[in-house]
Formats: sequence, C-alpha cells, structure tokens
Amino acid sequence: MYKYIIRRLLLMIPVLVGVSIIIFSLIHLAPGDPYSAMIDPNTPTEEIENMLQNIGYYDPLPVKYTKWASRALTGDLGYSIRYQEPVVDIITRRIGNTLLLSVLSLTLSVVIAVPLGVISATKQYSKFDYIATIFAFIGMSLPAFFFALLMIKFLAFDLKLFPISGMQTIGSGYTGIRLLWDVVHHMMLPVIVLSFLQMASFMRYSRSSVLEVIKQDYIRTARAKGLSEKLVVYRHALRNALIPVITLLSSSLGFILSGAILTETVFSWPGMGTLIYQSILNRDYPLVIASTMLLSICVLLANLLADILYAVADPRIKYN
Amino acid sequence: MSLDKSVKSQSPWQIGFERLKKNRLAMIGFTLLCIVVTISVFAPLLTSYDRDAIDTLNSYQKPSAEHWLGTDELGRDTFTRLLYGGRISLSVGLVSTSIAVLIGVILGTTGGYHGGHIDNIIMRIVDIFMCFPFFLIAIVVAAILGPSIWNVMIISGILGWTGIARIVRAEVLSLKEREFIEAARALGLNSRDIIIKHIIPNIMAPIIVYATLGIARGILSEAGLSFLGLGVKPPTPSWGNMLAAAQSMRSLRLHWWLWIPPGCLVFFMILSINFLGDGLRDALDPKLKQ
Repeated sequence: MYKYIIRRLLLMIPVLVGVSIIIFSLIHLAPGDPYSAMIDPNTPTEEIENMLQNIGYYDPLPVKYTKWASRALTGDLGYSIRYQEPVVDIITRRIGNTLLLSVLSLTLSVVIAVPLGVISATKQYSKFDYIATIFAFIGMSLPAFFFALLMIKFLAFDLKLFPISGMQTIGSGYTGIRLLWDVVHHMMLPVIVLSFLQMASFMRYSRSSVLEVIKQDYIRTARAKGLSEKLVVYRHALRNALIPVITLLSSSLGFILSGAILTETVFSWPGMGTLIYQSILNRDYPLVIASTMLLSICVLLANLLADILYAVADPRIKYN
Repeated sequence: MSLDKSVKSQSPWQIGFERLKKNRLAMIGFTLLCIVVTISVFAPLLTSYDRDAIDTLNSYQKPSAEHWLGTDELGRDTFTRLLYGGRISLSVGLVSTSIAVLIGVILGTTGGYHGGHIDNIIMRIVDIFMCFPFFLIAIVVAAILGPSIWNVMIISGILGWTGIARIVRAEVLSLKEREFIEAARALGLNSRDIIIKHIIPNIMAPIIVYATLGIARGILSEAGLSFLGLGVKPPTPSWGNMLAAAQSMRSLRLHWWLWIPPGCLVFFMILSINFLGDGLRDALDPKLKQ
C-alpha cells in the first residue's frame, strides 16, 4: 500500500510538470504585455525596454519557464501584478472563503442526497423513485449560473429574503454574533445553489450503487436467513454500496474548487473562483498560473485520496 | 410449426432502438430535442423580424402580441434572437462534440490497440488533461484566443476528448484479444484497416452514448463562456450571450424576458439530451450502466 502511494505520488510529478508547461506556454502566448497598465505613459520608451529586459520579459519561453519553476519549488510563486503583493498571500486570504462554501455545500448535499438515493433504490420504480429521479436530472441539467441568477432575481430582489451578493454587508461594521449572522445570511444562496446541483449526482450514484449491491448473492443469503428488509438494506447492503460514493466525494472536491468559478462570480463571493476569473481578465499572469497549479494539485491529490480510501474501505481491492 | 415471417431476426441496433422506444423519458427528451432543432433551423419562417434590426425607439419593451418575448436594449426582438441563437448554440454543441469524438477515438484506439510506449504516452496526456479544471482552463484559453464562436468550439472539443479516449481504449483492450481480430490479423490486414473496419463498428454504442452527452457539455460551456463575454461575440446571438444580459443588475431585476427564456432553453436542451443519453446507455450498452 505504501509502495503504491509513493509510486502514485511520483507519477504526479511528470503530470504536474506537463500541466505547468501547458498553462505557462498558453499564458505567455497571449498577445500584449501585462505591465503596460502599470507604467506611467510618459516614461521614455527606452527606459521601458530596459526595464522589461531586466525583469526577463524578452527571455525565450523555456528560460522563463525554468526561472519560474525553480522559484516555485522554493515556495516563491511570484508577485501579483494587479494587487502588488505576493501571490501566496492573496491566495491564502481567499482560499478560506472558497473552502467554507465548498465544504459546507458538499456536506449538505451528501447528508441529504445519499439517504434519498438509498430510499429511491429500495423503492425502485415507485412514485418516490420517479420524482427523485426527475429531480436528479433537473439538478444535473440546470446550469449553475442560471440557477444562481434565478435565485438572485426571485429570492433576493423580488422577495428580499437574502442579500444579493458579496460576503458581508459593506460598511455595516458588524462584530461578533451579528457579523457571523451577516456572513451566514450572505452564504445561504450560494450554498443552496451549489448543494442542489451536487445532490443530483450523489443521489444517482448512491441509488445505482445500492441497486447493484442488492442483486448480489450475499444479500440473497441475508434475506434467506429471514432478516428483515430494513436490516438487510441498512446493515448488509449499505456498507458496500457506499464505497463508490467515496470516490465521487473525493473527485467532486476538485470539481467544486473550479466549478464554483461561475457561481462565485455571479454571487461576487470573494473566493478563489472570483479571484481566478478577475486575474484572467486583468492578465495577472503570476496569479493565474499559481492558482491554476494549485487547483490541479488539489484535483490530483483528491484522485489519489479517492483510490486510497477505496482500498481502505474495500479489502477486496488490491493495488500493486 | 411454421416460422412466422414477421419474426425476423433483429440486429443488436434494432433491439436497442426497440428498447429505447419503450423508455418514456428518453422519448420525451428526443421529441423536445427535435422540436428545438426544427424551430432553430426554420427560424426565418417563424418570425417576421430581422435578427439584428435595431429599433432604439422600442428598447426594453415588455412581451406583447407584437414582440412575443419583448425587445432588448437596442430594440431587437428577443424571440427572433432566441430562435437564431439556437442555431449557434446547437452547432457549438455538435461541432465541439465531433472534435472531441474524433480526437478521443483516434487516440483511444491507437493507444489501446498498439499498447506499449504509445499507450503510455497517450494515457499520461489523458492524465494531464483530466486534472485540468475544465472551466478554468476554458476561461484561460478563451481569454487568450479571444471571444469567437470557433474558439468556443475548439476549446470545448479539445478539453472534452479524454473521457471518450479512456472508454474507447478500455473497449479496444478487451476487443483486440478476440478471435475475429486475430483472424483479421492473420489474413494480413494492416492495423489501420483492423481498427477502422473491425474495431470501431464494435464500439459504436459507447461512442454514441458519450457523444450524445457531450453535446450537452458543449452547449453548457458555450453558455458559460458567452455569459462571461468570452464566447460567441455579439451581435451574433447565442443562448449564452443572451444570458449575459443578466450581468447588468438592472436587467437581472427588471428585464426578465431578456435572460430567462435563453436560460430555460439551455436547461431544457441539456435535460432532454441527458434523458436521451441515459436512455441510449440503457438501450445500447447495458455494460456502461453505472
């Protein structure tokens, strides 16, 4: 097992190098230089040229990449052009907000969707199953940002139940419990949107997984022993049926971090998604590269975690 | 006992389509899909307005008998633009899926059939692409290439081939050990002919299922990118850039007819495609059922 983990971690290295090369070249292929907005237009051209020369703007791409990579390895991810501060500082400030949103919505959707999926499976082809299936399809098909817009229009603008955007009421000066409530109030709509959309796949996944397990021989044996249906499903079937859900859980970690870009943007939530979107628009290259790499590492680690948890939960799976 | 003439032998495809016809949700999806495709194709016959005709005296009109879905900020008829926008959004879905299927099938069959180093390299490329957060990279590339309909198609196609490559490769791995492939090889067919004539026809089912669901993905990424202003460029209407009207707080609150209809169409299209794709999966390829 340890050998397997180490091998997987080593395999991550070439993949990460590949990812960084692709992102790095893509960004440097973009026309125009991002510094022009920073420079006083009255500066003589020669001076600008000199400065650009000094910071390595005219270096060939491989040289630039090596410079960036060797600095990144020591934890120096560069300096944001727009915010005028180290990229690491900006990311650490923002990532908490995104984690808050994603962890909460992920937990909420699992807690609601998995039981619904199990009930749906035990009552296959019933009315409940039919309605749950249709809801799951709606959740899978509704574009997140459109759903978010509808929520803002009807619940925030028309009914005034929630604030429209942001994370806090600007200029309110709330502290303590008032501040907490204010943030929670702002958080509700994005959490509703994100969890409703994720519930769909969790529900479908746990439903089909239970259906698959129920067909197996050992379940028939359990029934033949005369156990009640409840005991069969919840004691015997559920344990095995939930294993694939672990995989989905870990893989949706990666999705949630990047898939929330549009949702965060629509709600102006000050998280990673909004940060990345704005830094792309601002051509804040160091920030774009660092956050993209960070998300890619998260996705890779989440996939590895999924495989490890899978093996821990199911002794039948052996990695070599 | 005489054999009844009506009991003809059925090909796997016929059996599959018989099964599909019994799936109510899939048929609903298929019908909806046909309706929207038809009204987008015949858009000029269904509306008397010009797509880009500006009428600034009548901007932001509410829905009325004259303008079924009102008018936008330049006084253009929303209903007309919605019909024409369908052409754009649906073609983005189709073209991007075709690109994804083409790349996925070529790389998947090559890797699966030849194995060894080629397979290793291809699978590493798949790994790299799979850990890209899709929408994030799509935005980066769209911002670099600039907004245009072709770029949306290419981005969504190039980022979407990994899933199909994996499935195709897995299918090929098991197929290539079968006797009929060995026979073809013994007959002296070269590997290209074996792949095209003997392997691909046998893995059409998962390819069709995946391609169907891929169209939904194409439509969704068009909507997302155009909503952010990185996709189809106005004045060409697409459902995504019509949704971008909601970027303005005023339109979001007051002019619902500008953004709710295109959003609903995107939703209904994706829903129908998901219904149909799920039905196709059950009907054509029971193995794929999760």
